[in-house]
Amino acid sequence: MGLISNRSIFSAFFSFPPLIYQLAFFVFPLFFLLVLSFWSVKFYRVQPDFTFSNWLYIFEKGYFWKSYGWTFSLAAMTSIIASVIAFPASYYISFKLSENIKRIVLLSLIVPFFTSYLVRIYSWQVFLNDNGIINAALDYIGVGAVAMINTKLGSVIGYLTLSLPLVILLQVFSLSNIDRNLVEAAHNLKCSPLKTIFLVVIPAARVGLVLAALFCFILSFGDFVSPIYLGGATTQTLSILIIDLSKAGQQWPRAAVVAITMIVTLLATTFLALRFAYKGKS
Amino acid sequence: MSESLVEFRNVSKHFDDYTAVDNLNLSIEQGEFIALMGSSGCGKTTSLRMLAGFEEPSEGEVLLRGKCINHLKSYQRNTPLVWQTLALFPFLSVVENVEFGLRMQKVAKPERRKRALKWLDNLAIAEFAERRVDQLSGGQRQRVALARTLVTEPEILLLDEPLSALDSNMVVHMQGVLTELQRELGITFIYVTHSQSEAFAMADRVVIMNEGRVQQIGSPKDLYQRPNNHFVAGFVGKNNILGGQYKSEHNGIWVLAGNDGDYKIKASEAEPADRSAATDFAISADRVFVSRTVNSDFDNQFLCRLKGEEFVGSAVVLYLETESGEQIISLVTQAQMEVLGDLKKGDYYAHWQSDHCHIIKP
Repeated sequence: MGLISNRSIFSAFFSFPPLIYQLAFFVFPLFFLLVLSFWSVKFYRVQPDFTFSNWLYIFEKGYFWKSYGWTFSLAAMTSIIASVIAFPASYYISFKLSENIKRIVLLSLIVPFFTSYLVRIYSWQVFLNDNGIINAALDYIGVGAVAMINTKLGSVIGYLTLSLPLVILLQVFSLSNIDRNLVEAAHNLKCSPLKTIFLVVIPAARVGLVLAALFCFILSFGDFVSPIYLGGATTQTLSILIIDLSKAGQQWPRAAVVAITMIVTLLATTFLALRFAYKGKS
Repeated sequence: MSESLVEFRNVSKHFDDYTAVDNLNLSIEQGEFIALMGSSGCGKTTSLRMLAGFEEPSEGEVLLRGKCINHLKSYQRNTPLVWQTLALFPFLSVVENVEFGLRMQKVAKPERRKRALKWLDNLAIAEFAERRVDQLSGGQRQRVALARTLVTEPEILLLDEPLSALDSNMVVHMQGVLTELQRELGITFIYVTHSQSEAFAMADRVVIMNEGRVQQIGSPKDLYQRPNNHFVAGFVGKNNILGGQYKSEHNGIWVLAGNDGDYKIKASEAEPADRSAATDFAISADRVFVSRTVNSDFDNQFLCRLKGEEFVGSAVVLYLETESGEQIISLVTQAQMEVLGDLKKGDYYAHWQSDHCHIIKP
């Protein structure tokens, strides 16, 4: 008896602080955000109210849906591109490198996180500028300058900067957990190495691969640094829309509507992705 | 001379500075059930993996039907393997697992489904065809792994400790399934195991390996009755290993001068070239009898005292010591124990026939 109650006190002691933290800084603000979306703005001041006008206002605007469509498709495109680019690297790291070299490579994938994302985005400007390094090189070989900064391509490059190392790390962890015997068993049953990747390696690592893509989607969907500094706000993403709404005329309730729409979208995407990842698993 | 199905010719495998297999020579015939047996690290699994195409020999040749297959990758040869972990694909259903090999051979879908189901039926697991692999018991999964390899109708099947994850009742049952399958199909089984009971229960021939080298190849009975060196004598069954200096020979019986007097042993094919060196011989514990008096039916007898006893079911292992301190073990039945009475009191003799002794190499 004494032991059990001691232990539960012990575990409660350690589990309460994070629980309280979550309540105070996540659940409560989220609830407040929801409440805020029903408030109104009069004379540039937010005041308590109960009105659906913010929801109707936002959902009636064509620019909101256009922005939603672009944000969603850029994030989806980025997670597909990141997954495809990352996979060969992850495969090589997990299956071909010796344990020692693998450790060094994994460490080097963590290094980008040492530098602020903002700094890394600024440094991309040097490369992507109309008279930046890449265009200078293209000009030199006679291709001529290609607009890269202040385009959707710029945004996607920024999203990839943010998420690619993480996607590779997550893919490597899931690929490293595949039972090597499965790969050998496929070879043993006359499956060529290339076919084995598609018929055995990818299905066996499905959960991890989907999670990696999902993380990339979540990071890109909410990011505002890349679309501003590399996308040049040519495409108004939802994150930029939130900034604009809150700055212009103190429309915090309308910004809350956009934010909640984003959260719901991410929840739905996560739910569907996990369902797909764990399909046919206990 | 007809050519063997599989032949290892002077095959060695080195990993960095470690030699896993050292000059393996072995021929395996069509339709044979052969077991490679030894403790872990003896080279048995490495040998099997060289045959399956997962390791390339450092030296020598692996031949399949007389053709060197050293450089063929696993997917370029037809040597299906059943893994210790079974290596079933967790993302495929039972029947899809079984179909996998046929799918690789580009067999049309209806045909391969039919053949897969037939094999599931043969192995009495047809009812689980649509289940996921992780919903099956160990024994059922074992059958799926067998079906997955056998469905491609190979002429050879490699098995790497396939029964080690099963409980003991299931092991005996699956041994029956395997021997029956092998006999029915007439294909060659190469079975790697550390378990003496599995190897001896199923195999026609057993290859005993230690530290990368073959110690002895023979039928289970041969290995049991005539271990030819110290390692095998110590590894198989319960053997006494005794030795002495050669003194004389009479009617095919050698006399060796040992610590407790003369040992009489039957001269055998394993006779050493140099008789002047000390000669060791093995005598199985169940051939060593114990009685209260000298028994002239036996030509070896030594006065002993009891050091310990161990009950193993219906039999008792007696740990005896001779006057000079030589250790002798004897396996006697419970019935014999009753006749002997309390061994802590009085004298008794260990005795055995020279016929049952045979010379072993160091």
